[in-house]
Amino acid sequence: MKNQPNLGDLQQLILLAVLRLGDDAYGVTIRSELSHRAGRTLAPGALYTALERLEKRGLVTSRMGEPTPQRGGRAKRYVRVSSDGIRALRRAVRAQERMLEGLDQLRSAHA
Amino acid sequence: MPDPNWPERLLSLFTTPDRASAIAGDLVEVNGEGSPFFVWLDVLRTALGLWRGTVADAPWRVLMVAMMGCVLVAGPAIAGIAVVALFPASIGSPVSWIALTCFWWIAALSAGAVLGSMAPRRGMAACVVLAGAGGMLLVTLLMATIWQDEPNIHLVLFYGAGAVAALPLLIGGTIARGRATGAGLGLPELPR
Repeated sequence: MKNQPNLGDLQQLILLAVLRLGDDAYGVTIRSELSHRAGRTLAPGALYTALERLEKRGLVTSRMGEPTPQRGGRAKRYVRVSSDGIRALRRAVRAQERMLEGLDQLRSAHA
Repeated sequence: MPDPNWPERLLSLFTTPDRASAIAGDLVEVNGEGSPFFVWLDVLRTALGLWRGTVADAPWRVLMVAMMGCVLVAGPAIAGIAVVALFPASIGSPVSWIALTCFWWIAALSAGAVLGSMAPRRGMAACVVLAGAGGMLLVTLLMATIWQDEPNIHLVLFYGAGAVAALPLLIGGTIARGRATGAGLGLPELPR
């Protein structure tokens, strides 16, 4: 049986941010999304290291965009969640839902 | 910014050149029209983060490469001492110190280059580990020697020249990394 990778808290948040951003997911927007929605201010090094690890695990794919003048002529590296990434996220969300079952105080706070 | 390619050159020491370019672009975009100082601050922080990530991914492998570098530096360094000792009359003279320092710095430069060529992914991270650890140890010994009532000038020179060898070690690693990735210092790619 294929070893199913577990996702850490930060990896889940990054994958969710990439999913939310769709075709506009790259370093700057992912950091901004994490900061606005999750209240997590990530050091740039931590984000890029995490993205590289996710790509190595096959959970995200990336492609280079076109160079733009406001970036000093450098291209953006767009990131996309792969099908393996979606599956890993689903497993993580299901595990969290199972853990939340019966915990009414958390459910009401969440609702 | 003096050279617009330096941020990616620095970042490409710890990641692939295309990633380094995209990261440098992100940092420029985030800082907008702000001072280049903040871009550089972010570049340094990011390079540090990427280095930490490389070490955290495979700490034992990085440590093993660093230990290998330690052996590569120590061998010629000891040989340098032996060569200087062949001429007892000159021991302690400026000529002997210059010769010894040259031996150590060339040893450090070549050790950095070997590590960067042998382990393209982790060689540079190992060079930073070795330069940091060795440099700190030698600077501590240097300070301890200087603060003595009657500091031994030979020990001061010994530790001082050794501590500065961290720099050629990093330069050697940078050159090798640049050659391996075809980026870095913009040197041609090594034949595979």
